[in-house]
Amino acid sequence: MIEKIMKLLKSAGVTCWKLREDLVESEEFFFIKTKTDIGRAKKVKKFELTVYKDFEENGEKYRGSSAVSLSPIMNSDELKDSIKGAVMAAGFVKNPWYPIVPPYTENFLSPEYELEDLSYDVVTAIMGQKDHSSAWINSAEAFISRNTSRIMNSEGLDVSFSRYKTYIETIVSASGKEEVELYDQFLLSVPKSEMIKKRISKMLDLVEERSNATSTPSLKTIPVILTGEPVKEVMRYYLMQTNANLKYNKISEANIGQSVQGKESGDKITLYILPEVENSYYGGPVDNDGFKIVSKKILDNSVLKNYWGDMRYSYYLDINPTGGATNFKVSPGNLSTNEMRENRHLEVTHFSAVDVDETTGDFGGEIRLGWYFDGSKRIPVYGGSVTGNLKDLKSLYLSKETELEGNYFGPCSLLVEGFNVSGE
Amino acid sequence: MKVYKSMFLENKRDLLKKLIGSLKTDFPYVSVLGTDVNGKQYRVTTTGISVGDSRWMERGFVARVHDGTGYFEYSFNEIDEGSIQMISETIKSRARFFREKMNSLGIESVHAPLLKETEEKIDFEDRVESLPDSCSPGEIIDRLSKMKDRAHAMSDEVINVMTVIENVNVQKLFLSGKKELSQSYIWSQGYLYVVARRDKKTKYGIKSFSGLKGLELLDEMESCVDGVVENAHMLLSAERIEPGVYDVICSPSVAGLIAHEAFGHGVEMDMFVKERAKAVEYLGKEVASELVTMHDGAAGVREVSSYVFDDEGTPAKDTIIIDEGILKRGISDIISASVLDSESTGNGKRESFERKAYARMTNTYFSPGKDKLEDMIASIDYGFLLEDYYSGMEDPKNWGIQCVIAYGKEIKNGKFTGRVVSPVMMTGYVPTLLKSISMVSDDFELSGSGACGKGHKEAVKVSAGGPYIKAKARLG
Repeated sequence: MIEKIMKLLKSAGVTCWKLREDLVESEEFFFIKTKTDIGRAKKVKKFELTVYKDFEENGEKYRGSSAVSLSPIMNSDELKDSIKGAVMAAGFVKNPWYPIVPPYTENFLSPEYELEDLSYDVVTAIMGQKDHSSAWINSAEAFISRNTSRIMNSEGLDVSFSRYKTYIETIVSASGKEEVELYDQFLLSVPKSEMIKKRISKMLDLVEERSNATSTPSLKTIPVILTGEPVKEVMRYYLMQTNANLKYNKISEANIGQSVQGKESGDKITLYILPEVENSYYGGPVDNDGFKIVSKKILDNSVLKNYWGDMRYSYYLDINPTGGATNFKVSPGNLSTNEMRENRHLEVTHFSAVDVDETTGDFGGEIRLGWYFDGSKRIPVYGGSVTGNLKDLKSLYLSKETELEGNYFGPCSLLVEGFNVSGE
Repeated sequence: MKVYKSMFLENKRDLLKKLIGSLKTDFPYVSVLGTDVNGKQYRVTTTGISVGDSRWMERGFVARVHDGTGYFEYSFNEIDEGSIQMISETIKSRARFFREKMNSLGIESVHAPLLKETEEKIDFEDRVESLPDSCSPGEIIDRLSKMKDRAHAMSDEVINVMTVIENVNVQKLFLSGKKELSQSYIWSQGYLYVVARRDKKTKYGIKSFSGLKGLELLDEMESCVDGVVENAHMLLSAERIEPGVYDVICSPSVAGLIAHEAFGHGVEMDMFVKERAKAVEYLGKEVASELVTMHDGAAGVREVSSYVFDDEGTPAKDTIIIDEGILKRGISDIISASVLDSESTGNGKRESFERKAYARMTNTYFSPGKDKLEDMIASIDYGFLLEDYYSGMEDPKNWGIQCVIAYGKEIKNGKFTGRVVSPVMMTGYVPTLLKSISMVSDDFELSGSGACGKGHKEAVKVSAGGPYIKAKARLG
């Protein structure tokens, strides 16, 4: 297929192109309580071709591009038509010129596993979980996949890599005042039984707490501790302020040598981008252009040291590219989560959805599970919402403890002043 | 203009029949869905232009078999005359391996009866006013660029503009022992997105467009540029709302979000099978004001989730979920329906041929009422008109709702004060919110520019909407 595409590119007179080939094989399991709902498997191969077209106007160089998906069972006429369409469209796309990734050849080797063995580990970890006294797994879905990719371009780039991905979605339920549930999405590269068991066991503990929760009171401007996934979403806001694409598009106002945080007191954020984080579902050695992702300190005590980005937007900002990284790491703070909990506060681990707007800094979410500490008692709560704007915080503290959450590794809790808590 | 069916799928029809024939020797039920979804997205921003395939593009097949105990599926995208036998053997061995693995671990299967099918043939080709390839990429980019330039010309405070149009041609072929169904239709969506900055404050106005339409969507977009710039400007002066419970009027788009989050997800009947839906306890009972009638269906209205048959080969229907405040029934995929011994409502949808089918919403909306919007505004002593939204989330088990609304216009003594709050988080208990609905306008609008997830994945196209509704809501 690749040879066929290359021949057609040559006959169409395309001199600048990028081709990505992906093969995904997966085993998928769907459970309802202790039974299987359905089983699935897949084997799907895809190609994405980007063609570039250069031109000049008034002495300025421009580079147009257009991307098309190609199916492995397209016949020669269909392939020819797709390439012709992409070439024509690229001619109407007038973007300032930028380079594509320079040539290198590398096959990034990673350990090989049998999908059947990995899926056995996942299924036994989920289904072997013992129910708690009043909590159980309502349903679960597990997707275990091997993703093999190759990226080539007209400069001579040819890189190959593979990656295992494990996605586990669990709904846990508990009976208390009424039956309640919590949702969890656990992402790993190669599945680790002990990590899966620990995660689900923790979810069962939490849903038991939710079954005894009362409505969140109207707490207005109380200090808020965010723990778990909401922390990642807040930190992602700061990561995105340092992205070359957002800077070039004027969405980010971050400048080198200046702080990306507001005037809040407390901890200053130190943030790194990384190609790989141990056990992370995301990432890989290269970005979508085939550029080898570098590890780099982006924020040092809140001060922007380097933007991060792909070849195109880095060229536009006249900086060295880092590659379009997906994993990031934040340095821990000085307070433990328990120290954060010493004074009156609201702690939230689960929102219906965490909504952080990377353009405006607005933060909001409805509380699925939290705890109100009035100075003497810690009471589980649900309902109501936490809202605010990350540009207007009064203080921000990072926990000493760290954890992996999706593509983020860093403090597992944040203590924030400046949010509003609505409730009954 | 006619939207012709996929030649790719037509050319594979006989091969797929052969595959079904080969699988039939081992399985009492076999079906294959073939998809050929293609489209282009054109995007013009202040700083660049992009043209690429639609993110909804897919081309492949999913085979579903029942092995006498339960269902198994295999997704693939390579098939030709020479590989039929190999694919058939792969499906047989994978299904057998799955069942043996479950048996060895002592994991039983949910009792899913064999699907009972009746003979059915459908061959549907829709029509649109203007096919996507009736304009060159250059003409489309030029029109989007002019919208972008117009937005910038209106204000120096505009820092970035994005104009997007995406046309998607959905072509599907469903084959089983008794069914032979094909359909081809086009849906399109467009966005105007204007970012404005004053001092250090950044806000954006956004308007979306959608429908079973082609390039005629560009005409609608061109007429709305000024309004989106004005909105972005207005939001620069917006304040945060004081958290509390208020009288509100929800615009059709916000009403649609409530319908979608409140009783759309809550009545997806795979949730009934999992005992995750509180709605089961309320079937036949009052869950909303008697002014509320709510529908979901791929038949009955024309929006992005209107089709002739779903991804499991069930013909589209128009389901009344709430009739004058009473919860009537849920919406289902075919397997959930068979487990629950009910009839599928034609809501079995897949993100793509690569994913499982679930019970999903299609076009979900409140029916219009008899009130006039101006009377509804005049009836408010203190409250807000809520317009547009960014996102929403449901809690089917406990009926919580989260809606992130773009802005609210303050109303005092029946008149707008000019004060605007943004963004606004609406939360609460679904029946409390729906029972508080006291007025329903005679307007009706649907919008389908976003995507809906199941949990946090499985994105599918849906639309939602209805009239203006007056209710009491907790805002923060």
